Amino acid sequence: MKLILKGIPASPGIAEGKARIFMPGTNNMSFNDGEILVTTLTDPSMVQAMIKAVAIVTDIGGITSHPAILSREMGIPCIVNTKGATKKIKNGMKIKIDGNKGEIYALD
Amino acid sequence: MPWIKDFSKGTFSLFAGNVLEGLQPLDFYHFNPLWYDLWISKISEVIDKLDLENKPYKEIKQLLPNPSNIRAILIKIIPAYKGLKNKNKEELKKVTNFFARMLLESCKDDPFAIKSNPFHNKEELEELLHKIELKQANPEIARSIGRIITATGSLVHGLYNDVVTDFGWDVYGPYKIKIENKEYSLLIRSFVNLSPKELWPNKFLPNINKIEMFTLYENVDWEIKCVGCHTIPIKGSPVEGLRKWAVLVDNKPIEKEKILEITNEISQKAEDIYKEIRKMSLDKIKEKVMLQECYQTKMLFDAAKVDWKPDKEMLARITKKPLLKNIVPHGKMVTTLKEYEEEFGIKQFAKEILNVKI
Repeated sequence: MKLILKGIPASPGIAEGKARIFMPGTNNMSFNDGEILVTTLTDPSMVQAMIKAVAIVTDIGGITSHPAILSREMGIPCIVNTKGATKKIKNGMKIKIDGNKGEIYALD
Repeated sequence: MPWIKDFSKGTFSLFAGNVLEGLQPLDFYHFNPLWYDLWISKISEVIDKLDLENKPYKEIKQLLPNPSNIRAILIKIIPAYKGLKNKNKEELKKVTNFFARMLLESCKDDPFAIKSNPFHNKEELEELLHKIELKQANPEIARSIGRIITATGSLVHGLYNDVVTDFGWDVYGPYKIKIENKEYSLLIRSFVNLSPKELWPNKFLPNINKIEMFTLYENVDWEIKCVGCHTIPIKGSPVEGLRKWAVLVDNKPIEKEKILEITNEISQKAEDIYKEIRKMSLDKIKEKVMLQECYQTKMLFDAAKVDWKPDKEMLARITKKPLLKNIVPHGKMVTTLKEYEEEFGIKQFAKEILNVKI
């Protein structure tokens, strides 16, 4: 397990799963239950993917941004302001999210 | 009325630890000053026409948006001040003092939501809880409620954008209540005006206009920071700690099976509406944002028989005009209250408009 990225911890909890790089306009139906949603910043067009995600990671945003607020409501971990998760994390990569510390680990 | 200090403390929590890069779909801090002086002038006219300076909150509450939305109006007017084309100090003082007084009267214990949004008094809470039937919760229900909040919150973000989110979304509490000798923390999540026909064609609107959620937690402490959508658990797990719940859709209670159905309907609408926003040109987005802003005071304007919609002069201020620059800091994380008061023009507004030194 290797620490690959840090950001602002925005919703507590720990989750593991496959990373899914998800940008505005991506078909929500292609998002699978149990995946970790990795994006620049969530927006309402992604809501159907968000409610299936086990965790959310974003490049930008703060503790009161859209993904942070909604992750807390769903009780799933969220890390924001990683400044580059969508570049460092690859689609399908198995990762661990520590929403308490704001740390992202590669599990592969 | 020295409200600006508490305003500053309450709103600081909105920006502390944030970088202003994520405003969707438009950076309204650099947009609003292009035309806000004209809107403020119209609000001032309405205040005079209805003699609102002499009316208590309880007499006019049906004409006002919810408390978080009133805070959001102030959050935008005050930083916009330094960028306004015409700085009519008398109008700015009248309008901001009016909205601040409405908060002082409607949420007496924490008007600017430094930690909470106490909109109901004890008697009102008792009456509300008497009317609803609370059901036993479990983690599965808690997750379902989290998902319907996510879906409805996202719909609100589409209907009203980040610009006036609070018009459709407020959260009240946390209230400490006792049922059968057990102490709970109660949150009332209120999603209203989910079907604004004046803003969107029917195909983007859900069949539902109002969703209210009553959730009672044990061993979970919450804070509401400035606006209801910024409700933060500071101790305990909302999923593990949810004990009782009720969800009302257009004033009727629904069962847990119905939550999923409504979540799916609402999330599809949220997706559709935001895709539509993404297709808009910058000028169309600017027009929509201006319309959404003006919509917040529609009920007041209607009562005064003043057209609430943007007029030609307001539209001319924004059409094919670039956004302003350097009104509030971009790319910089605001970390101290002092820094916030300076960078967001609160100190300047307090001194020049309210004659208060902070």
